Amino acid sequence: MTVRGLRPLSILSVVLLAAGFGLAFFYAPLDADQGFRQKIFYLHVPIGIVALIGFVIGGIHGLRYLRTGNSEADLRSYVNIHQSQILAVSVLITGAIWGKTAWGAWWRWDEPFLVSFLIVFLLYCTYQPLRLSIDDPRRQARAASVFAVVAGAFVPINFAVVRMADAYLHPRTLSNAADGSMPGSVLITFLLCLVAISVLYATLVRYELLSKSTTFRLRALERRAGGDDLIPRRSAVPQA
Amino acid sequence: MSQAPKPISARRAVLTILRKDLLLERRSFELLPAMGLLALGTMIVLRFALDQETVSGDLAAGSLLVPLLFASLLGVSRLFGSEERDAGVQQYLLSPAPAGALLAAKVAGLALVLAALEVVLVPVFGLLLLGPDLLPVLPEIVLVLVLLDLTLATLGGIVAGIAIGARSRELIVPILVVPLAIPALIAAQAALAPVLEPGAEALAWRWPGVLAIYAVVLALVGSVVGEYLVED
Amino acid sequence: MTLSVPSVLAQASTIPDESGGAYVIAAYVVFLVLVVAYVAIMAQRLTRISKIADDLEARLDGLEHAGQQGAGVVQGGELPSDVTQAEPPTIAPTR
Repeated sequence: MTVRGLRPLSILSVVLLAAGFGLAFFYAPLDADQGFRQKIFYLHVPIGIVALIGFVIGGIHGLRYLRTGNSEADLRSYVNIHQSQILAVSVLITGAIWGKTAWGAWWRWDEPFLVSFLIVFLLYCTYQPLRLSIDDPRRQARAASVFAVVAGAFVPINFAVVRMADAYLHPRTLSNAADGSMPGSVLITFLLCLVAISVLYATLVRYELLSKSTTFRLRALERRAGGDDLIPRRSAVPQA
Repeated sequence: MSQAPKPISARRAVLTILRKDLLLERRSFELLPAMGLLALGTMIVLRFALDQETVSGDLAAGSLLVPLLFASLLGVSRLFGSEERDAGVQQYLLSPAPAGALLAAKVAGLALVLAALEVVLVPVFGLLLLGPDLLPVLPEIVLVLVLLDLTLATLGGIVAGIAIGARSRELIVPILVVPLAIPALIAAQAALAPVLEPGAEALAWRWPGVLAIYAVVLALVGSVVGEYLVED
Repeated sequence: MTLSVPSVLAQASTIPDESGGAYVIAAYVVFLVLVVAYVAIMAQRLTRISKIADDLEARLDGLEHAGQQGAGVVQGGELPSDVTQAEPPTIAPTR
């Protein structure tokens, strides 16, 4: 994998994003209830879905590492979790913007999607500190993989429980707009945005993987040249 | 070496380690008092933080669960304490006992310690803070707390296993346990709040169900990844 | 890029204030700008690092080649190959 090889994927993700956002602004109809602010959903919801899937993928690679001991699986687990963390921050920010425009408050506790995301984000914030606190690279990779598996399983459970609690404590009086009554143009726009964010996510993951492998290569070369990197540095990044 | 050591059954290994840990705790008797004092201290803080003479409903459930969560953090941090002091994990691995049995024994031990703590803490809570009568709703409370103990012990065992080799375990364990415990605490809170109302309502069975499902999922995940934690 | 920022901003001025259009557009613009900037910086940095690595590798190869042909003193090639790659990771349970 080279930078040049990533160029088509990069261009594709920018084109898809531009197309998706273009549809969101100029094609999708204004929501009768929410007006213009509803358009944040074409950004907020796809990012959220992709971030959650990314966390689960990180867990799957973690399990793969535990099964095979292949450090490449640990690296993939790390990169997927790292990129999902970045997306999770975007979800919280776009969610806060939506809250501000809809209710005039940056945060509300009766929105189960956002609340679950905050909890998931809180859990994944411990991933790097955990890695950093274990010096032995193999032990670190193993602990991080177990964390990735447990946290990956935690994500759907947490969502279910928070949603249940919300439905129980705050019964909805208004029916959700997403319940089957979504117009075709909204659905098309949403799906295109989802695809665009997924492709963007894949691109970013590739970039980070390439960046890590290039750094490893450079470090190995430094060592070969008799550099001062003979002692492994303390790092939260998997040491391939 | 002419003969391979005879394998030890998982059940026997779990029981042996559990007996060893409980004996250690009975002799030293340091964890349980510390957990009790921390839980009691937290209750007193809550009494002033909430500015309530007595609590009921939501506040009562929270005032019982938050001290329990804090106390459980102490237990999780020390779960592999005796093993780590004398390179016990490595020694254990030399024995023919299955690797996963160590984690299972630790989970069982933590659940028992939490239950022992609650035997003291719940009556104290009833005397000091709880507005409505404790006795009529005791069976419901016991049921929810037993399920909560199992959940907290399972996730505590996994977290303690993850943090075995960590340099700053006292930092890592709490920040891992708290987010993982949130769904369990949501379910326990939702289950206990109506029960602890002045005119105690019936227990909504879905919440103990949620706790049980979460405990089972954690146990399944733990049984898959557990053997990789106890290894060196 | 088909989505031009000015056209979106022009539309923004026609949006009633109470629906928070400015915030929404700001979110999209900031997201897009950040992503494009991130990818551009990453691509640039990666190209540079890979060039350095290629260069270094070529020079090391040349040095070792010259060393083998000369006094026979191999510089660098005899160094511990890689601390972290010294042993293949075996994490399968031992029992």
